[in-house]
Amino acid sequence: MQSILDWWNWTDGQDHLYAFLLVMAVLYVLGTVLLLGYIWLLMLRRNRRSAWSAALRARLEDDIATWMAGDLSTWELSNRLHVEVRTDERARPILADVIYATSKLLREESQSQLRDLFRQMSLDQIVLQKLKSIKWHEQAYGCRVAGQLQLKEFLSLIRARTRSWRGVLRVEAITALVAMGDQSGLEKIAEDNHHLPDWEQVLLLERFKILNSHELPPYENWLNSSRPDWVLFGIRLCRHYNRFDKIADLGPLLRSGDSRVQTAVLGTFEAQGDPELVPVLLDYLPYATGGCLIRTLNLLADLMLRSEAMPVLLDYADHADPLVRLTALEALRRLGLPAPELHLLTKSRSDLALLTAH
Amino acid sequence: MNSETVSTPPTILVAEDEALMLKMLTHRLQKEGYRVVTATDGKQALDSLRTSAPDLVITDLMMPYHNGLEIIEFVRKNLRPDLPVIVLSSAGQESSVVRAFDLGADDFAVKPFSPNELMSRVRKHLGR
Repeated sequence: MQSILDWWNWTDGQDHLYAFLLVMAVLYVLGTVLLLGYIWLLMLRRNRRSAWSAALRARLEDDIATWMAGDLSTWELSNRLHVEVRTDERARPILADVIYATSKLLREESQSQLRDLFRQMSLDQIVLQKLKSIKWHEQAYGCRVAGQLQLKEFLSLIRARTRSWRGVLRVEAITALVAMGDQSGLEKIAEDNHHLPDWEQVLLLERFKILNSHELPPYENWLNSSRPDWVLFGIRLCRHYNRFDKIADLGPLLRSGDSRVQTAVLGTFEAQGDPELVPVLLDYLPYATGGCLIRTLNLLADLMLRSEAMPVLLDYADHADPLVRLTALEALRRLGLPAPELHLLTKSRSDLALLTAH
Repeated sequence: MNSETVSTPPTILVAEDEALMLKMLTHRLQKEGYRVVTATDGKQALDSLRTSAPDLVITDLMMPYHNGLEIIEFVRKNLRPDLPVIVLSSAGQESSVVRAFDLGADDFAVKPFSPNELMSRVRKHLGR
């Protein structure tokens, strides 16, 4: 206290403002040094932690690689992993991740041994924590691990994640349900989710490609869904899995009123190119409009016998829409209608010019 | 004086970006008595092909920088046309496997594969 008073008396002779500025400058420098020191300590700790994680991961991978190569029994592997976990509890999430990554590289019989080991070491509790986390990316990770390691006890949590507004999380949850073969959960998805955007459909298709055939989702049920997005996805899956016996059943969907669904069905028909589709296409023809009408006419020209296709196409040779007209005329030319007759059918000079330009 | 011929073990280049798979293959191949050169991406694989003169190549199809198809193409155009190449593919990469055979791959294994099965393929191609 005395020293403060002395200092104050000393400043009596000085300008108080300068003294105040001096104190502020000292505090500023001191604060900056402390802050920088704190940041440095944090970085040091983080670097040490990541070096420790990398070393631990490498050790675990070495053990598991030796086990995969057949030079370590499951019992020996289990002992080694238990030692790591007993030494430091922080090893648990890293071990869980290594086992998850490993299981993707293994055949079914070896996968089940790893799954048993995963449960035996209570690593499923880490998956539970992730699934219950408030961070969506941790939930997504939890879904991936649970799906890969068949942790069916978490099905209800994963089902709940399929209703998330986060597309990526939804994709992970749906993939996990497919991997676990949860047919009832999958059937309910279409009712719970109004939308399944194109990018999610593409992502899901990519994920499904690496699944075994017995894990297929109930996509045939989705064809009857009241949600056009799910119908569209069902059609894409039908095509992806080459379910050509189901493709003729897609006919009624051409009258769904959703242009994306109609386009997808026509695309599937084009890919299949089966003459058995002709009656379905003829039924749809009077209702088809625009681009769908053009594709239907082209398909009929390709699939029908020449003598049967000609009268159908002639009906459209004087259609009001010039593109439809030209498609019909072009198809007639492909089918071998002689040029003089084709010219007689052309409605305008511009049609003739376009037709001869082809 | 007896002349003793010391046979050098065959060298196998393993190009695989998945660390665990690479470790497992290295471990298993070394145990079988091969000399193993590893590469974790396509660039390293091409460098190793130029410098280590392997007797057999095991390459993953999907790798950073240069994929397995480019590796096969390089081997066939710039190295020995008879150098055996085994391709590692994942499920859903059938079209890439077909392309790999078109480019001159000798064999393939779909992940997950049995290490024993791969070793027998390696032995077959090295004529051991």
